[in-house]
Amino acid sequence: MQVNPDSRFIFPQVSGAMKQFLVAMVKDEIVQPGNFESGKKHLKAYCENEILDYKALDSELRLFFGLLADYNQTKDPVLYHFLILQACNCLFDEAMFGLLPIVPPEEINPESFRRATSATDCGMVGGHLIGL
Amino acid sequence: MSTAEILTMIVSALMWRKHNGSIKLYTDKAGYEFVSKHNLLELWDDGIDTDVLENNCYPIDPEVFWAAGKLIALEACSAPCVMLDTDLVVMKPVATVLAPSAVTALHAEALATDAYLPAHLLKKPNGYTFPDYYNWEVLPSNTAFLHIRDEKFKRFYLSESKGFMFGNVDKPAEMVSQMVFAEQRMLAICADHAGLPVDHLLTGPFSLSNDLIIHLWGFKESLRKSETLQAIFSKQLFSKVVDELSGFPLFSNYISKQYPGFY
Repeated sequence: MQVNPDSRFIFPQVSGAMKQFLVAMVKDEIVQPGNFESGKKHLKAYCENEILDYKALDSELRLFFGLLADYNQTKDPVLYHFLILQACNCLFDEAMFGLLPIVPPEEINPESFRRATSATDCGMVGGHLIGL
Repeated sequence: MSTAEILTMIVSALMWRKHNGSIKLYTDKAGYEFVSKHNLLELWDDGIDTDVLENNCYPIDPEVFWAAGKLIALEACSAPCVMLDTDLVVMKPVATVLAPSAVTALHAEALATDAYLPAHLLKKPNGYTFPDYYNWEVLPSNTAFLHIRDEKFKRFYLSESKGFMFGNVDKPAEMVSQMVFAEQRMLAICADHAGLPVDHLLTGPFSLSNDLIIHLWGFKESLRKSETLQAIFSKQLFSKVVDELSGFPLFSNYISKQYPGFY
């Protein structure tokens, strides 16, 4: 995961079609784990069309699913914070993230998505120095 | 310790060596075996000391005072000295910041938290009373980083801390308040009594103007819950320090074995 701290507020311009595809693909994987592999052909095609790095996006999505699995087991608010951060790396904006069937933890800041760019919610000092 | 914490410990020691001088690890036999198992015996260029902690017979309850080992190690070092937690990375030289300061800690901490209890709620050894000169209003200091210039003050601080810890066997309801009093609040109280200001490396723990410190602190608990989070954190930390630490073969060798995809 290469996070440029300066780009955390910048969402790449991807087409509405690709946004819909990403949401559907991730929703599908959440509901039916293992389905991600079958969608990769289409993900690759979208990346090629929109001149995005497919391998990088594939890697970021895998990290997202890994975090999601850990979050679902623990409901740790810090993991939720990083799930949002990782969703941004997967080209998800706030609206897209809101469509995913992910139950937030009980103690959650309503501004969570906007605040995910700061490490202050995760208990680490200096997270911003390493792009977290 | 998670793998991400081990990486942080490595980066902590090597960044200190790069920017600020030699570093020694104080640990016990179990700690020595742990670092040996991970091929990290050479990490601390001033060596590893197990005698101080293994030979110590202080009547301190290690469950209640789980960081007392730090203070026992601090006692064994001559001032001026710096005490550094293994989950804290100092990213730059700090000699010029520390030189004019008698006491420098990491950052101040608020009193209005569950961690810092009022005096009457603290458990005390039998027959112990808090000295009248203790100022209960001064803010505690986080001692994940602690620099003390003068040996006399160091001995005073540790003497007061030991006086509170020795024979203090009543178990509190939680295992935080007694230790943070003995180490962090006691530092501020002693400095205040000695007329010494406590300086801090950071104005606040989460200040975005911080360009000096990375400290895992409470984040450790979340890291331990998620290998994916560890992977994300480790890659980010590696990317930040790889150029600076490229001259340390221990770093390159460790990364190549533990994180083969990073290079």
